[in-house]
Amino acid sequence: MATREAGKKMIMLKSPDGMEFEVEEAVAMESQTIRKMIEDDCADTAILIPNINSKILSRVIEYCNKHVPTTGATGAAASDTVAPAALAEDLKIWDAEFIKVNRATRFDLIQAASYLNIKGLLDLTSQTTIDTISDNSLEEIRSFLSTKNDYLPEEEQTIRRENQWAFQ
Amino acid sequence: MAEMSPLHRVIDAARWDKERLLGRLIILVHAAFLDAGFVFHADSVLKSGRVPRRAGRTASTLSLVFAQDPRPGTHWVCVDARAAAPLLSGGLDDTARALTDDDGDSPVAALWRELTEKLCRSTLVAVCPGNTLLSLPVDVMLDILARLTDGVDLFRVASTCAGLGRLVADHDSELWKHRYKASFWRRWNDKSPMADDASGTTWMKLWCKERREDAKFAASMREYRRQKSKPTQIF
Repeated sequence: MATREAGKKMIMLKSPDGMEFEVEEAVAMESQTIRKMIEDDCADTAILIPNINSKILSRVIEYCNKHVPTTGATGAAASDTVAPAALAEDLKIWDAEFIKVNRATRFDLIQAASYLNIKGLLDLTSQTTIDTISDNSLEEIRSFLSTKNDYLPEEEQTIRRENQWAFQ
Repeated sequence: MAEMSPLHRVIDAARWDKERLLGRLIILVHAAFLDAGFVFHADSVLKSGRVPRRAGRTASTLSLVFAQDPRPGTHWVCVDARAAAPLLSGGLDDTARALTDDDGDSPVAALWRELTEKLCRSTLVAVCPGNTLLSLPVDVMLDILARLTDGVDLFRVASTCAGLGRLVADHDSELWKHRYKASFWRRWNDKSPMADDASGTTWMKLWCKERREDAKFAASMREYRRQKSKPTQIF
């Protein structure tokens, strides 16, 4: 255990609003984008993450921290005591709590997961968005997606008239 | 056409041909803004998105007003009109094709990317309050929409606003073709209507038509059962 602690390589992630986050390299490498930078030796001691503010970046790091032991090889020893099924269940519960955020934050997280290429987080955020859409009325979907109705009233009437089956 | 070019959305070939080059450049900027997801301002002369006839002989005098709630900051892109305008000397169809010419290094495609990505899209994202589905990169939006299991949900999403409607229409066969085949496979054969050609229909429209007919049939069955006083074998 002690050698593992000592061997941990740390990396600095910087958000555009000037915050710095020191994370384990293994955690940062949950992001395929960062992994590629590190593997290609493009990463210095600090990596600037454009477009992702510190509030969102800290949530993303929180996600990666939680998920790294199950997918990364480094954590395998630590998780030996817990059965994999129980661990997966625990992660699912944790994910469900993690994604209880407002709409704007969720879209920010999707954008971050997409840019940083973190498949698990992208799946989680996208699926949550899908769940809010399914089986809801047009007005509800509009509000969930934060889209504005920019159809002219007559255009909307035509859509509704021609497709009553979809709007009942 | 199932997948209309951004240029054809705003002007027809006859009027394009009549425009002077600078006018065409303005039309291109107009098309780029609409393509990025902007909508027409309530006070705008552009009610339908098509360049209005009363704008005069050339569109270069046309003022373009697009709606966005909060006051936008300044976003600009530098286009050398004397260099750019001659790129638009071709016909409407050729120019429209050149816009999205991904593999070639067509200067028209480069100009289009400059306008849509650097100017229009970044402006839209910057002025949008909070984040919305439409502020996500296109491939991420498509990935989310493709995850919807029920076509009705996808159709409702496409009906929420013009931007999403256009996104869904632009990726019609990717999003709808398999849904159409999966839902109506019994009716599907080689003679089934195809939306991939230039027949003017889309996979979404075909899908909706079948759903509409299913709904009508179900309604008439309900009515039939209600009117029949004695039980009858229908099937």
